[in-house]
Amino acid sequence: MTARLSSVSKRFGARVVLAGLDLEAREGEYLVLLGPSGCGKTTVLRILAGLEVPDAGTVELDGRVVNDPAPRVAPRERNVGMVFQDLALWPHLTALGNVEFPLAARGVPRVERRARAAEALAAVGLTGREAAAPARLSGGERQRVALARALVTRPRLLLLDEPLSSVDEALKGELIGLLKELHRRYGGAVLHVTHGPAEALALAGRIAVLDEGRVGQVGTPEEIYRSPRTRRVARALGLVDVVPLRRGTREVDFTPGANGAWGAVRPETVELLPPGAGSEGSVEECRFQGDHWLVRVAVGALTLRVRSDAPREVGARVALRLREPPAPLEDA
Amino acid sequence: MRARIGTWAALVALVAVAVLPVAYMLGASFVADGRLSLENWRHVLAEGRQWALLRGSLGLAGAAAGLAVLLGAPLAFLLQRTDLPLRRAFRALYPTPLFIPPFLLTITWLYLLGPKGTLSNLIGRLLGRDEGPVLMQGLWGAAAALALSWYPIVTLLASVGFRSAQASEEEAARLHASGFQVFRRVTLPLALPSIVSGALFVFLFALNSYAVPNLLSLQGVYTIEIVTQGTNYGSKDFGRVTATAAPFLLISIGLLVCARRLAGGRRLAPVGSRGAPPRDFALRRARGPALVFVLLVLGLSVAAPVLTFVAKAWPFRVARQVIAEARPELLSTLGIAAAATALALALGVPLARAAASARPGRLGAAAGFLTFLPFAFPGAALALGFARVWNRGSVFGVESPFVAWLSDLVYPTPAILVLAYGARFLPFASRALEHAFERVTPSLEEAAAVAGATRLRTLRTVVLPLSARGIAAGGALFFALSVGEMELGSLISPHGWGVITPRILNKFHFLYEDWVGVASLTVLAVALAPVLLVALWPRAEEGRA
Repeated sequence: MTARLSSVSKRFGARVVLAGLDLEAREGEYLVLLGPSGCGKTTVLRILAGLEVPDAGTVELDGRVVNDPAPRVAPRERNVGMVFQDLALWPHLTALGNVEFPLAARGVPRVERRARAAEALAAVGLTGREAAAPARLSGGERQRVALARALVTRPRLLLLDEPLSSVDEALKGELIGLLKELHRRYGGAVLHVTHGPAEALALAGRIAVLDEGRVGQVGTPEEIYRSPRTRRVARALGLVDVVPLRRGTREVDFTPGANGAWGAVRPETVELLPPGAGSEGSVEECRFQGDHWLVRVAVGALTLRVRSDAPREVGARVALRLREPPAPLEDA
Repeated sequence: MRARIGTWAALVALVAVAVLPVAYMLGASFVADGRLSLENWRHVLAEGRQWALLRGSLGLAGAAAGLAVLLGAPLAFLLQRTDLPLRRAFRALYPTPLFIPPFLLTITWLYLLGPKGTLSNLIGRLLGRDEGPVLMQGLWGAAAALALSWYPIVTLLASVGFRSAQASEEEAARLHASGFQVFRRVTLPLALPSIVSGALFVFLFALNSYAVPNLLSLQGVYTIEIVTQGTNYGSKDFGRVTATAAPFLLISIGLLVCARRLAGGRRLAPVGSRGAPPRDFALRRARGPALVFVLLVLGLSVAAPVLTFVAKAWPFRVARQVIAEARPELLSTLGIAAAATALALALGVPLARAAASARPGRLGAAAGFLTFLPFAFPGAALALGFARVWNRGSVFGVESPFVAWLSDLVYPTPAILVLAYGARFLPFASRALEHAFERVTPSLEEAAAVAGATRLRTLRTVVLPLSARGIAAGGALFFALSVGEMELGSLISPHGWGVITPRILNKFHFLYEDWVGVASLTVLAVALAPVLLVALWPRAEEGRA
C-alpha cells in the first residue's frame, strides 16, 4: 500500500502540530518518521489510521482519498495495523484473545481465527504464551503481542508509534531484529515513528525528519546522516557541531565573526592529531563513552566534539583535521 | 512511630466499638446452657424456615441489585462516556438518593403507589375502578425502593470502571471494529468488574435492610426475623437468636470480601503506562431516549421523593408546630450525629492514613479491612449486639465496678447511639478519608521533611491543605447517614434520647401526612446541608508534576 499525506495541517487549540505536511510511504518500504517528542509524529499516524481528522489537506491510501468527509473512511475500513506507544493491550483478554480480536471483528470463523492468531504469535516468538493475560507478560512479550495483533490481519500499512521507547537496550536490539524480519516476511509499507536516531538508522529504508509541522528532509539513512540540509535535521540524527565555512568552500572557518555559510561536522569525521599537524586547540572536556572517548576541543572561537580512541588531558594542546568536509547547511 | 501508635489505638477502638459486638453475637451462638455447644446451630439449621428466610432475603437482595444495575450502570455510561447534554449537572445530582434514607424514599412511594396512593388512585380512575392498583408492595415494591435508594453506588463504581479505559485501548479496537463492537468487547468488559462490585454492594445493603421490608410488612426475610426473635426471646435464649443471625452475617461478610476485591484489589488495570482518557461516544439519534432515561431515573429517585414531601407539607401551616413538637428528637438527632461524626473522624483519620499509605504493611491492611468490615453488619444485628453487650451491668462479659460504671455510662445514654452509628457508618466515611489521603503521596511529605519541616509543620502545610476537603467530605457523608439512620435509632434509643426517624415512621403509621412531610424535609435539609457546603468548598490546587 502507498500512503500519502498532502498539505496536511492539524492544530489542537492554539497549538499548530502539522503545518502543510507532505509525506509518502511507498509500497513495501520501511519509512521512519524521526523527530523530537511532541513534534506531531503520533498525530501523523493517527491521521493515517483515521483516529484523527486533519484540518486541511488530503490523506490517500493506495490512491484513494480517505479523509473526504462524504463519507470519511472509518478506521476499521482502512486495513491498517497499528502498535500504540502504550501498546493498548486489552487487559481483560489473553494474549491470544488480543491477537484474535481484529479477526473476530471481521467475522472470521473461530477455528480459522484461532489458527491465524496462533500463527501470528508464533511469528513473534510467543508460542506457549497464548493463554497469558497481558499483566502476566514481560515488557518484551507485551511488545510482541502488540506486534502480532497489528500484523494478524496482514495489513498493507503498518503504523508503529515509538514501539521501542519503553524497552531496555538489550531488548531493543532483539526487537529491531524482529521488526526487520517481520517486515521482510509480511511485506507491506511500514511507517515507524521515533525520536531515537539509532533506531531510525538501524531500521529505515528511508528516514523523514519532521521539523516544525513539516517534513524537513527525506532520504536514505546515509543521505540524511551525511548530508543534512538543515541544523535541525542534522541534530535529529545525533551528535553534530554546526561550524562556519569559508566563503565558497567546504572548509571550516575557525576565525571569529565568520560569514554566512554553515556546515555540519560529526565527531567521527574529525581526527585528533599532535600539535602542529592541523588547526590547533586545547582540550576542554574528555568524556568516556564505553567504546570511545568524546573530546571537546576549543579551536579559536569554535568548539568541536571529536571521537577519540584514547583519553586526553583537559588543557592539553591538540590539532584537528577533518577526514571529510562538513556537510553544507541550507539554513543560515 | 507516633503515627503507628495512633493507628494501633484507633484500630483497637474500632474493634471494641464495631467488631466485638458482632463477634460476641457469633460467639454466643456456640454457647448453650453456659457451655460450648452446637445445639443452637443444630436447632436453627433443622428448621425448614431458615431456608425459606434465606431464599426470601436472597430474593429481595437479588431483585434490588438487579434493578439497581439496570438503573445505575447505563446511567454511569451515559454520564461518563457520552456527549449527553447537561451531563455535568446530572453528575452532581445522581448521588442525592444516597442521602435520602431508604425508609423515607419508601414512604414517598407508598404515598404515591401504595394503598390509596395518589398515583394509584389516578390509575384507578383512568381504568374506571374505585380503587387503583397497589404497586408499592411485596418483594418487588421493597426491591424497587431499595434499588432507587442504592443505585448511585452502582453508578459511582461503574463510573470509575468506564473512566478507567484508556483512549488507546478503544482506538486499537476501532481500527478493526464498529462503535458498538468496541463498546461490547472493550469498554463494557473493562467496566464490568466495577459494575459487579456495585451490584454486590447493593445486594449486601438490601440483604441487611430492615426498615424497608418492615415498612412494607414483608415477611420471610432474615432481618425481620432477627429483630422479631431478638425482641421475643433475646433475654432468655440469646444463643438461638444469634445462631439465626450467624449464617446471615457470614454470607454478608463473604459478599463484602468479594465486592471489595472487585472494587479495588482485582481491578483490570491498564497494561503499560497510563495514557490519555478515552473519547466520548457520540449518542446521535439515541440522544433523546438517553436524556429521557436519565431524567426518569433522577425523577423517580430525587424529584419524586422531594416533591411528594413538599406536597404533603404544603402549605406548611403545621411547619412551626411540627418543628416545636419534634424539637427534642431533632436536637437529639443533631447532637448524636455530630458526636458520632467526631468519633468516626477520630477513628477514621489514622486508620485511613494507614490504609492509604503507599506501603500500608500489615497494620494498614488490617486497618483497611477492619474499617470495611462493618459494611457487612446489618443494622438490626448490630443493634442486638450492642444491646446485649452494653446492657447487662457488664461489658463483654467482664464484671467489675468499673465495668458496671462504664455500662451505665453508655447504655442508658446517647453514647450507645454514638458508638453504634460510629460502628455502622464508619466504612462509608473511611472510603472518603482514604481517597483524601491517597492524594498525599509519601514523596510530598518526604520532600517537606528534607526541606526541614517538622512533622507538625508538614501536617499543617502539606497534608491538611491537600486532604482537608476529603476529610470534610467523609465527615459530611457520615453525618448525613447518621441523621437518616432508622434501625439503630428505633431499636436501641435510650429513654429520653429518641431520634427523629422512628418518630417520623410512627407519624406515618398514624397518617399524619403533613407532619411526615415537614419532618422529612427537615431531615433531608439537615442531612444535605454539610454535603452541599463541602461541594462548594474549592479543591486544593494540586499543581503536581
